[in-house]
Amino acid sequence: MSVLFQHALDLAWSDGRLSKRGAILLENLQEILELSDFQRSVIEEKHHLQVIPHLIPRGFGSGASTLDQWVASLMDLDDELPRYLVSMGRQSLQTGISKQAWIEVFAAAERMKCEFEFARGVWEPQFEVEILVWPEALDPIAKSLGLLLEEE
Amino acid sequence: MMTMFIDEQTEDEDDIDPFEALNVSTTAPAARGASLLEAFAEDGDENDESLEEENEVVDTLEMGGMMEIEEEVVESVIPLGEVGIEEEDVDPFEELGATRQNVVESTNANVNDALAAFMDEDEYQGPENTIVFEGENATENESIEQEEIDEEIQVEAEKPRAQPEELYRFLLEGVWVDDVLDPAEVALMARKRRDLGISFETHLKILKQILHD
Repeated sequence: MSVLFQHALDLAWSDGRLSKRGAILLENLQEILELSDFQRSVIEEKHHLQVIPHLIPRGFGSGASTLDQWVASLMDLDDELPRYLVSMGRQSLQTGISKQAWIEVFAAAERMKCEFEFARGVWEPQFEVEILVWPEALDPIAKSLGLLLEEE
Repeated sequence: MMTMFIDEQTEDEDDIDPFEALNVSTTAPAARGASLLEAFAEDGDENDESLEEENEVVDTLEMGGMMEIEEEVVESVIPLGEVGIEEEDVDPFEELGATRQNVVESTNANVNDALAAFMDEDEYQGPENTIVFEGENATENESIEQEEIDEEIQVEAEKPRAQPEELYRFLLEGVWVDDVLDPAEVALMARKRRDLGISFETHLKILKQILHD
């Protein structure tokens, strides 16, 4: 759950400032992901404490545009999303999934209504899985699963 | 110590020296050691003398000699006729007033050994020997013990066996012990789900419970 919203916050604050548009987009995403205010506050508090103090303001909230694009890409995946999550689950198993990664990504998959597919990719070895290259919109998931290095 | 023994001697013992009677040397250890050394030091004609001394000392050290003495003492207390090969055949159970019952020969197939309850049914072949003390009724005991065993078996049967879900939960908890899930563990859990008849949905439910506890 926090993986996707955390990424959204990173994008919205990417130039060191949060614009009004950016704030509205975050509100929208909260609704899409069906996050409660409490759940959102936990994620935002962590972000405010750990990320924002290290940001250098260099713009006026241009990150909102990037956030908008990312949310749109994520929504566009639609029917393809389960296939990608199954594939990512299987690929991550090859390198080993930590408990924390499983919890985070499973929660994110739940928000996207694809938790069952992701779990099958991980826990059902007899289930045939097509290995796919995931779209950029799913990079936050790939990062959590250790499929993508932080620098990438 | 030796002086204490000597002091405790009474006139009733007719001045019999117990050390002499037991063929024990009363020579001080230091003196014996010195004489032994002398024996090694002396040559030729003195060999006979030193041998005698040596023999005397060796006699006191030999266990065989001591054992012989003990046997002599026993013989003096217990008449020789009573001690013999028959002594080995004395049944300690008879001496304690118990009779040995050979169940193998009896036609009663009932299990009458309480220890049988702790043994596997497959391994248990029934008792070979049971001991019944005098005044006890063997058949009564057998029936009581049989009842007890029946009760224990019933209790065991009524005891709820580990549910497949509980067993699966236990295994799933073990998978996360090292904090990393690998393909071998996943394959193992998939096999266990098949063996225990656990659906994938149940697996996810148990997994959620484990991770959120």
